[in-house]
Amino acid sequence: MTERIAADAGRGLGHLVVTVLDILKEVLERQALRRLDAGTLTPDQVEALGQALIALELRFAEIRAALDDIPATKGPR
Amino acid sequence: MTTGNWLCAYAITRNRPSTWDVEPAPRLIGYRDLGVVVSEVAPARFDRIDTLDPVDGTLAELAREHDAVVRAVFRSEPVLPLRFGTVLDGEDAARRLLVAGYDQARDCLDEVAGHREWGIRIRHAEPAATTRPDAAGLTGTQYLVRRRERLKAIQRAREDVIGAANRLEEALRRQAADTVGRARPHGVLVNTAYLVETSREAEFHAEVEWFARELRAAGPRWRPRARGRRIRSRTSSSARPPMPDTQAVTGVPGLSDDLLAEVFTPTGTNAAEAVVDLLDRVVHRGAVVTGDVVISLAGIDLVRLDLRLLLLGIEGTPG
Repeated sequence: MTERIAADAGRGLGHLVVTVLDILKEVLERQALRRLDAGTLTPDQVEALGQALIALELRFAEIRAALDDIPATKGPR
Repeated sequence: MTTGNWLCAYAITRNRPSTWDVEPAPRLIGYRDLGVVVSEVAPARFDRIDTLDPVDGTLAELAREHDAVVRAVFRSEPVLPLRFGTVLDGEDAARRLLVAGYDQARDCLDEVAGHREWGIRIRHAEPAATTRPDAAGLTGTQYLVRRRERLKAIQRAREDVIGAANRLEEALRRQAADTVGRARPHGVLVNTAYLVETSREAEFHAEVEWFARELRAAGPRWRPRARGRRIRSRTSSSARPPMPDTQAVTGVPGLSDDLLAEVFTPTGTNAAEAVVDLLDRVVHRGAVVTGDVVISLAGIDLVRLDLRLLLLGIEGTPG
């Protein structure tokens, strides 16, 4: 069964991409917490994961702010 | 169907002469000891149902009229509300309706006499799990630990509330002659109608009040709902289909307005979080995806994706 997706179907692609990546980040975080709970990470790894998540969080905030600055005609909805 | 003599049918009740405090006054068409409450309606009114405006639309207006009549009849007699929008083609049709449903309608009326139906609806609003601790000055480890505490706290609160809601349902069921579960949209923990004997209503309400306190105590994460009412009573005590109800709702006099906790909006962050929760479980258990996707632009197939995908969280083996 073949599904067809029209790539020009929607606007606000930037927001859509950020939302999808945000969800991916959340899933990664939960997975990291599972690993933390399971005790299969070294303290260094835990620290590195935490730092990476903080960095991702800040970066996402920047991207969202940048997208929101785009005039509404080019933004979503 | 003839035109010009339509009857809007509201409810089935006892065939006793009564006047109802509602305008325009409906009338009763009787058959043996049952009657159907109707009023004349111009077919033209149904021509204008072209708007779904839930407040001012024609449909809303008709629904409010229907509700007002059902309420008015209920003040003096037990009532089986008919589905909103039931229109009959003249008095003969009304009588045929009563003849056809006589036995069932009478049994239902006997069953609900001396009872009232109370609807209990509890909505669940969680704090946003995506709310971040202020990352400034935190080490990576501290950040992760705080996130874990927060997610766990949300999970605990959810379990507390679900537990309390289940106990509430169980306790109310013991007070009720009959119960009917209704659809629970996302975030609604309890949505049940209870048929309560009038003499037991005080106990029923006391039970609700008691659990309302417990639900509120389940955590500061439960904001009291600012408007609307959580306790709904249907003015009538209908039994199950085929005597459909109107689901008219009203507040309960004497019960405080912010009795039960909480508002939930199934949009925005909450919807995203539902996706995250779902994905988290999928990843944890693992998933295999196969698919054949063609991506097209302007109707022209451009890219073909033949997927053989395995998605699985890495549990990490020590060493």
